[in-house]
Amino acid sequence: MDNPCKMQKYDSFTNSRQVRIWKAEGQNAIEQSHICLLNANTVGCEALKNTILPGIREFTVIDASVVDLKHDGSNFFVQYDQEGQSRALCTGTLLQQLNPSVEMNYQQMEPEKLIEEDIEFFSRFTIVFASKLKLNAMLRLEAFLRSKGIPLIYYNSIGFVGIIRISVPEYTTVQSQSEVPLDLRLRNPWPELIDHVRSLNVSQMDGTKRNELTYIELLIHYMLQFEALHHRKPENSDDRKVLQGMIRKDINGQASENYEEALSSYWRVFQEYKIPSNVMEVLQDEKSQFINEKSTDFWVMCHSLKCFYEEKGTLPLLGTLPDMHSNTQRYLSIKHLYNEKYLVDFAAFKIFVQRTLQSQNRHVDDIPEVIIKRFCKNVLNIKFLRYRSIQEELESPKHLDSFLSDENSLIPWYFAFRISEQLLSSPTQSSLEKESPVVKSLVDTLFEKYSLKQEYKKKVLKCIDELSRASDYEVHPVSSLVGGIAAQEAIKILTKHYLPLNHTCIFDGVLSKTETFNI
Amino acid sequence: MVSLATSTSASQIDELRHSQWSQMLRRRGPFAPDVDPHLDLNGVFSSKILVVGAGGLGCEILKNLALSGFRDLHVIDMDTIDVTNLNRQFLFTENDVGNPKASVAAKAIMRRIPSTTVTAFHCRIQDKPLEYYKQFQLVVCGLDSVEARRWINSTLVSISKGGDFLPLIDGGSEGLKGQARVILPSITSCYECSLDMLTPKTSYPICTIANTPRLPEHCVEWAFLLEWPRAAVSKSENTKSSEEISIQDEGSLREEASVSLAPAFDPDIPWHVDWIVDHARARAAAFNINASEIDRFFVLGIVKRIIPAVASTNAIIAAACCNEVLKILTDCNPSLDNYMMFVGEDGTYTFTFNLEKRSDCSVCGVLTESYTYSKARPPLLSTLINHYKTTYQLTSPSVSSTSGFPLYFSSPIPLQQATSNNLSKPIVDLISPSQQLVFTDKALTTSLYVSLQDSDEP
Repeated sequence: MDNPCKMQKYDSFTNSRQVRIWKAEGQNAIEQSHICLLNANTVGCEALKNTILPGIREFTVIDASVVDLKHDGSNFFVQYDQEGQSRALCTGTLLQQLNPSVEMNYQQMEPEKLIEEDIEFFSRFTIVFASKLKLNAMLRLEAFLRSKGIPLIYYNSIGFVGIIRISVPEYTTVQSQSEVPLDLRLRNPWPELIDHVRSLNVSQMDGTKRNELTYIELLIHYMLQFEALHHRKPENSDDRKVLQGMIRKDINGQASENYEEALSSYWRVFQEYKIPSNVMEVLQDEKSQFINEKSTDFWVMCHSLKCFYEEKGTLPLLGTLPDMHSNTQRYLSIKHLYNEKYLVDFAAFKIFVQRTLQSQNRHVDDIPEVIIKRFCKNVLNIKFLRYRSIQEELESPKHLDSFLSDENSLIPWYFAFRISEQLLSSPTQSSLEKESPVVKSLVDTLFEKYSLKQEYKKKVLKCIDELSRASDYEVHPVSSLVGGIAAQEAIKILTKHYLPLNHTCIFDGVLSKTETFNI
Repeated sequence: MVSLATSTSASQIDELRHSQWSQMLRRRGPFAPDVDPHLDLNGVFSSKILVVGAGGLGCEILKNLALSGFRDLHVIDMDTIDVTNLNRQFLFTENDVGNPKASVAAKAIMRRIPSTTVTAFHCRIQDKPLEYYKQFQLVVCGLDSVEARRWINSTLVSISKGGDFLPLIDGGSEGLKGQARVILPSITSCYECSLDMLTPKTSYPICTIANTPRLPEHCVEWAFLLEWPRAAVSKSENTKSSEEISIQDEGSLREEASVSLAPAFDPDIPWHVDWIVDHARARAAAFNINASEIDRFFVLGIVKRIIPAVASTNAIIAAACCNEVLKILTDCNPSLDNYMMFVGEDGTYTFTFNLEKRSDCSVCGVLTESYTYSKARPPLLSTLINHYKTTYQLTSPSVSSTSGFPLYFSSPIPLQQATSNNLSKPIVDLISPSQQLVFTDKALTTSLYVSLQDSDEP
């Protein structure tokens, strides 16, 4: 058997390609995390593998089984000569080889037992991966984890189909996407920007000099000219033609790429300042309105942002500019102006944050400036997600009927998995077979419980039929894919970059399709 | 390397490992009602599969195929292992750095799954002859280059034109996005058909780089595209000047290297990268551009055109590909038709669709025409040739039948002489009604297929 060797931590250079996605702070979050795996089956080990490789600090495997090649044949993390040995130890050891600096722990015990006897044990984890848990235990675990704000990622993989479910009370991020939105304020430039454009005296410039201006300066200049002539800002389709005409008239020769840029962006002058919907949602949420001592830094800053917006009428300026045609000096000078305004807005925003902290009897510098800066620089990308618990979902599922009525929907698999879980939790341990009276009665009960139309039963039974081909066998590529999705969601949650799915994803390996449901 | 597949215990283990899988493959399903309950699993698992690439996708693909029961895999990769690979190319350890990816991957798989034989080749795909590729039942690609994909695609399409059916499963990933597609050469759309779907890479206008830099990126591109070659030229013209290069010395390695400045920039050589950092910074300073971002990490991102890569996306894409492999080879469920895109930035989202074959694709496309003639007066071969020569402005076309039988070849000379008699023969004397004529010519990027229709009209 391969021996794990403790070697030095990889140079952060090793992780450079992934750091380009989630930056140093995301990588730090990964490197501080401790992930728990309940049941070291194929899909679970694949999920854990894809978090160990990016560099998590530590993992713990909880599993009662011994290696049985008949069931573990599709698992990469058992060796053929480990039959009869502890599956937790075997998989844990082989998983650790993926990154010698990761700490490995294991417990040879039933996860259900641990959940019942020592639920506090789970408070040490950053994320918990779980599958094949008995329902009561899963719900007990979920309740505990949610009370601690620890995400639970549950999944299942049977034959050609898989399901992933995320349960966490809330996810917040300032990096909901990688694109930096444009924040040019062309329609309502601030005083310094207006003064700057006026001081250029564009009308008196010769053609060559005009070709060096940025399209921002051009558009503001032409808009100001329009305002001077018509005593209002441009607003309708006639005004569009007028403005375009004014721009075109001044094009001088071929080297006027800045004018081309102005023409393709002139419509921005017509856009009233608007806060994106994700930011509006944040500002209108209860947690922005009402702050208390339990409020996280994110919501403290959101509340402060709300105060800023209410006073100033805009969000803090982003200050970043894309590249655009002009000479170096012109570009740098306009960039400087935008940066100056950003700094002014940032200073004001910081004061709001400090005030909010004080109002909660927290120290004014409790939130480090670098965190406030990151929030401010990404203010247009802030977003939050709330997740229904599995408990709520099972008690009062939403939209099931309308999902079922869509003939292309993958929802019928959802029911097949639910039945499979019920069978797992029942004392009689029946198998998932379409013809089994136990299964049929479970389907009937489920349909009755959720008042679903009888005509959809056939679809569900077809899915059960397909899953029953597998018994409980995991087709490796399917488990690898499901584990891959589970891990990717975990990484997004850990790094707070991008958006995790909300909340259930089904992978149909027959059609090679996924679909996400919020039930 | 002799595999353990010949020993009894390995095959017993293999049987045990795959017993449930074997049962499943012989069992009919609601989406696969025609499954053969006596399917020859031995035959299926003995299928020869080629894995192209042993990197992020390749490692996953090899694992997936071995654990799906396939015993005879080949893997080709021209690279050696680098420390930056280790965060996702999980078959490699720090000890393996510097060794060929293909061989290390093969050994790692065979150690874990002894019943699978993986034959490794440390070379370029172009180094292998056509005959090599003909031995496989299926090819799976985990490549990171457009050129390599085009090459393997056109190779398999040309094999398929000879009559062999050789499916190609192609996977690609970048950051949190990726795609998996099934290509049945000559039947479905091929890689070349969809070239215009590729997003163009970021590039900066050369006049910006040369004259009006505005961003730190422009300064780096200047240092690497313009200044390095200039310095190399002036260096090689003046062999004495090891002092001329203004690099901050960090050790003797640099000094030795600075004596002979390599003409080609190599991002894997640290002092080359540092030279770029220094010169890019100087350029930024000269233009008053903030240079704080410019460090090795920043420079490498630009000069190596580094694509972000994560383990989880590779796992997802490779798995999607291998899921298709096993469905195609075992027929246990219908396979993907034919393209799945995956985006993981906003939840988990896939878009599955049928990418249509382009009839004018320069690799797999065919031009088709139909020629109707009067039964009473069937045309001579020369008439037909002249007709299409004019229509398509051909230079010196050759014609054969769809079964490959040469009717008239304008070159080489011996064949031209042998077939010139056919020119004056009526077409009906040369081919049967079910056959088409196949024209090839320098002016055609793809073959021209002409179906002949007779009519009772005079």
